[in-house]
Formats: sequence, structure tokens, C-alpha cells
Amino acid sequence: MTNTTTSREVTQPNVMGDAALVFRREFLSRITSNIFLATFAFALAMIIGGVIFFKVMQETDSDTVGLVGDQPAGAAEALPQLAEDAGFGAVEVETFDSREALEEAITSGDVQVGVVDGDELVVKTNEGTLPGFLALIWKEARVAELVNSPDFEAGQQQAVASATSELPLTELEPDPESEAKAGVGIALVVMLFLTIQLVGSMLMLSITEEKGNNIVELLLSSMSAKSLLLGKLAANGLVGLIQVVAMIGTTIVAVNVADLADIPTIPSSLLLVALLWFILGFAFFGVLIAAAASLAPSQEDAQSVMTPIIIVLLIGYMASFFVTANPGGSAERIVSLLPFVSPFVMPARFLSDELPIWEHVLALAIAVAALAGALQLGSRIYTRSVIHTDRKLGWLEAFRAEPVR
Amino acid sequence: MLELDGLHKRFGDVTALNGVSFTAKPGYITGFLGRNGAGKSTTMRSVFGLVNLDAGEIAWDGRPVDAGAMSRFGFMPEQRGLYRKMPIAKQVAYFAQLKGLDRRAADDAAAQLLDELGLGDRLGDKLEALSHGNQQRVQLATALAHKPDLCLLDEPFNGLDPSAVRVLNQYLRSLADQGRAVLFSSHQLDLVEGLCDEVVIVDDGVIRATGSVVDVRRTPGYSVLSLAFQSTPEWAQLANEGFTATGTRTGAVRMDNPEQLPHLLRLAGEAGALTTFSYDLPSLSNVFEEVTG
Repeated sequence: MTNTTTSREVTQPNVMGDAALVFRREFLSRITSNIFLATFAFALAMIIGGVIFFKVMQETDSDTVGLVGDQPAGAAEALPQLAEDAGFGAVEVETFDSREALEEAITSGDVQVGVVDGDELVVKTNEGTLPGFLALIWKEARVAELVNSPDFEAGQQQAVASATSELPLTELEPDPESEAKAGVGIALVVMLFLTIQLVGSMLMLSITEEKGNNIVELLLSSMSAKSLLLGKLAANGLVGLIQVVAMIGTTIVAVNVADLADIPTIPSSLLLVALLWFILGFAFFGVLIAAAASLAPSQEDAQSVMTPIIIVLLIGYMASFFVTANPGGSAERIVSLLPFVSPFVMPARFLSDELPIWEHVLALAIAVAALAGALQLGSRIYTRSVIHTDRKLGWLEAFRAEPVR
Repeated sequence: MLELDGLHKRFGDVTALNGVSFTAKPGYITGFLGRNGAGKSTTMRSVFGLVNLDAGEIAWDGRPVDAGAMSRFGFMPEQRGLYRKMPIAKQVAYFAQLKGLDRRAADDAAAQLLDELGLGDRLGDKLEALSHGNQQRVQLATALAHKPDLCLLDEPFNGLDPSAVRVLNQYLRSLADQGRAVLFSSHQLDLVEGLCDEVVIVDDGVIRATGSVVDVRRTPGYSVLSLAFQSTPEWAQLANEGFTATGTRTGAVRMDNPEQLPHLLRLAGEAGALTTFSYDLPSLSNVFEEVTG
């Protein structure tokens, strides 16, 4: 009964054409879903709100000048009024017992400029015009003190020269951007993690919906499981990509426009690097999430099968904080090459200037190799388990099962 | 023509299909009948490669079923399922596109078919907004919008009220009249007896009878004499002669040979006053009981 006319061509499934149809439906469905729109709006509002908050805080904050040791007479007393007249706003003066205590207050940000023994300025980072203004007042006070001294006599050139000499400036943290960059780096890690997690959840829900509602049987009567997987990954990946572009783009524009002190100008190339790593990260985790979701017959059962993937995702996320704390450390550099860590942390390392090109290329090569493995494993599991809507399958059982369609 | 030849499938210790062979011809409505769990759904799913057969071949027009052939098939699975939050016209068009129609043709086909099924004013509604019966119609539309050459419908009458059954009967007949092969499964034999051109009876994964409805009804080799009485007859007396009561005043008896007719009528007349009688081949239900033991 079966075909004997083997010379006739057997029609192969149109994998890409079917995947494109799945992609279109899935993308439109996700991008207009309430969960996506709400999260998207919330994230952008948080970013813009955060930047505005910092800007307002910086503009309304009063500065504090810390003193330790002897000071020229009248300088400290005159400072608040002079500063206000000169347009520096409110400036407070605080006296410390020791240089150590003063430096601690400067490092923590409680004190902006310190004056030690009336002849040395101490700042966290040399920026702004307040230190120069202080130097001017202190010099004038020293001169006035000298001139008004009963012992002062004309011709004391050395004493005058000393009084009018520049006050040396000591910086406690000469690289102002390292900390700020670390902060932006952490924000990047959080954005990438949240996006991969959000889009991964949408992918999981989409797969379990099709299994739970038995739509998958109808779908697989029309296309291969590979098309279905491909279309879903691409659609949810694009949704995530849009979210990443919007969040990082908004951050770059908002920070640069607001011109916040202490925060470096963010290079636009960061966006490309972040996108590249998002694609690698989402593809890696996405295909594993799809495989795990395909094992469960319903959304209720999905949580337990997702646990191993969630744990790996969280380990990668936590490890990223370890790396961003000291991006140049040896252990941190090795950890950042792991394929479940690198997608979160590499953009932050790129921003920190602690990422040699060879290391970036190595991390990409490892990530691509791991992705190839994940795609093999994930698509094998998915194509074998997605049709089973009656019960939950184990990873090993699905791995060994015969493929359907 | 769809040809199934020697299909075998085991799930663990359970034999689901044990040499299932039959055909479904263009222009014919073929009823695939059996109890729940008899192997109907496994057979239908195997046509789309949704079941990995242990043995057997499935061919369409003499060739093994491939992706091209499958695009000419329409499927309504037993486990209904569609996207609950997707507008119904878009949903039907989506599945038509997956079967190879371009977007405009799919949109047109979806709108036309939904209109024919009485949902023309609900095209933009989400599936979840429809009643159960209307959701069934949408499910049918997803199977048929691309005008398939082979319509495979697994238990299409499940959950339908009598008027919906009548509408579906008419629709399936119109599909067959257009030259399409219609193969549907059902466990409600009496409901579909008048609809089928051909029937295939399956039980425990084995085909027990196949052929035209008349041929299958002839399979047991006897007729059934049906009787109606003016008042309740002496059933005890009739039961001894092989009569069975189908109501208080109606009954039936198996008639192995037409020559038995005068004798049986005489026995009936002695037990009560007859008003009408008729004899016919056994119903599909009778045949089913006969061939499945």
C-alpha cells in the first residue's frame, strides 16, 4: 500500500516560513500584553524618576566644609555668608578632632571639602569650584591675620609669601568615575537580569499555555516542533531586546542630559555591547527555559521543572555582583567568563575599562559555544516533550524519547 | 485517498493499535467508530505524525504522508484547544496561514467560514467571550478554513446539542459533496449512523468491521423484527421466544432468516394485539455489540 513512486519528491516542512508565522503571532501577543506594558512603563518611569531624583538632590543639597587643627582667624566664620554671596548656596562648617575623622567624613560624602591646619585642602575627588573658592578665602584670611598681627613688620617677605601660597590639595579618590561606573555597571546587571527573567517567564507561560490548552496538538498538525520553538524564541527575544534598548537608551540619554555630577558620560557603544550580550544570554537561558517548560503539562507543574534553570539564572546574577565589586580581580575575571555569568556582567566590565579585548572575545567565544550546546540540548528536549500534554516528563525521559514531528 | 495499513502502537504494556488498516475516500464520509480508548484518537493523531508508530504505513494518494500532504489535511483534535484571548477571525486565519494560505486569502477564508457557521458578527470577539457551542464552531473552522482535501475530525459531536449536531451533519455532508474525504471518529453510534457513507468499527486497537453502512449492518447475518402492541403484551411469554422489550409496548426480535417472519408474527400476535411491525438490518449499535463481543 505504501508509496512505491519514490522518484516523486517528498515535501519537507517549511521550517523558517512556519517559524515566521509563529514569530509574528507571538510577538504581537507579547508586546501588547498587559504584563509587558506594565513592566515596561514601570522600568522606564523608575529610570527617569531616579535620574530626576539625583539631579534634584544634587542641586538642593547643602555642602559641608570640615575643619581640623588651627585655622586662620575669621575664615570659618565668614565662609557661610561669603559662599552664599558667591552663589554656592548653603555651606555649613563642621569641626573634627582628627584628620582621620575628617577623611572618613569626606570619603562617606558627609563632608565635601576639608581644611587641615589651615594650609591643606582635602577632597574625595577634585571637582567643582568650591575647593578653589575655599583656597581663596583661606589665603585672604591668612594674609589678614598676618597683616593684623602686632608682630608684623614691613619687609617680612617670607611670611607674606607663605600666607599667599597656594593651599595644596589632597584627593582621597583621584578616579572619580570608578565608583560611579561600578554603580552604573550594577544597574546594567540588574536590567539585563530582570529583562531575561521577565521575557523568560513570558516564554514559559506561552509554552505552558499551549500545552495546558492543548493548542500544541493543533499547531503540530501544521508545523514542526522546531518551527514552533524557533518562532517563540525569536519573538520573545525581540520583545526583550526592545525592553533592553529602551531601558539602557533611556538611561544613557537621561544621565547625559541631566549631566549628573559623579556620574560619567556613558558611551553609546555600551548599548551595542549590552544588546549583543542580551541576545546571547536570552538565547542561552531562553532555550533552556523552553525545554523545561515543555516538560510540564500545565502552568501549575511548570514551577517545579523550572527550578534548576532558575537556580542557574540566580547563581549567574549573584556572581555578577561579586564581579562588579572588583572587576579587575583575578577570580572575578575568571568567574565573569562563565557562560551563565558573562551575559549579565560583561557590559558592566566593558564600562569599567577593566576588560581587555582578548578577554571580551574569549568570553564571547565561550558564550557562543555554550549557546550551541544549550540549543542542541534544549531543542532535543522541547521537540520530544512538547506534545506530551497528559503528564510531566523528566529531563532524562525526554532526552531519550523519540522526536515527534 | 487516505490509506492506513497495519498500524501498530504500544504504550508500555498497553496495545493501542494492533494492525489498524482502512481507507477514507474522497467524496465519502467515513465514520470511525468505537468506545472511548478503542484507538480512534491514536490512529488520527498518527496521520499527522503526532504518534510514533511501532509499525505500519500511512499514505495519501499513494504516497507516504509528508509535509505537503499534511498541509492539505484539516484536523480537529479530540482535546480542543485554541488561544483564549485571541480574536476568533485572526485565530482561524492564523491556522489557515500555517496550512499555506497567504495572509489575505487566510483572512478571507476565515471570515467566510465563520460567517457560514453563524459567527459572522463575532469575528473580532476573543474566543473566551463565546459560548461553549460557538467555541466548538471556531475549532471546526480552524480545521477547515484552508479547504482541506482530507478532513480529520476527532469526536466532533462531543458536547453538541441536537440542533448543533444537525448543523454539523449538514456541513460534513456538504464537504463530502465537494469531493473532500471526511473521516470523523465517534463513540455515539446511533447519532452518526445516518451520516456515514462508510464506517470503520475499532475495538481494543483492532478493526472489527469496515465497509459501507449497509454492508457493515449486514455483517452479523440477521435482521431485526420490530413490533408495536396496542397494550402491554405478555413479555414473559415473548422473552422465552427470544423477544426483548424496547418499551412497555414495543419490542424486537432477531430474525436469522426471512422465512421466520410468519412464525414470529404469530408468536407476537398470541402475546398481544399488534399495531405495527417492521424489519430491518441491525443498527450499528447492534452490530457493534455483536462484533466487539
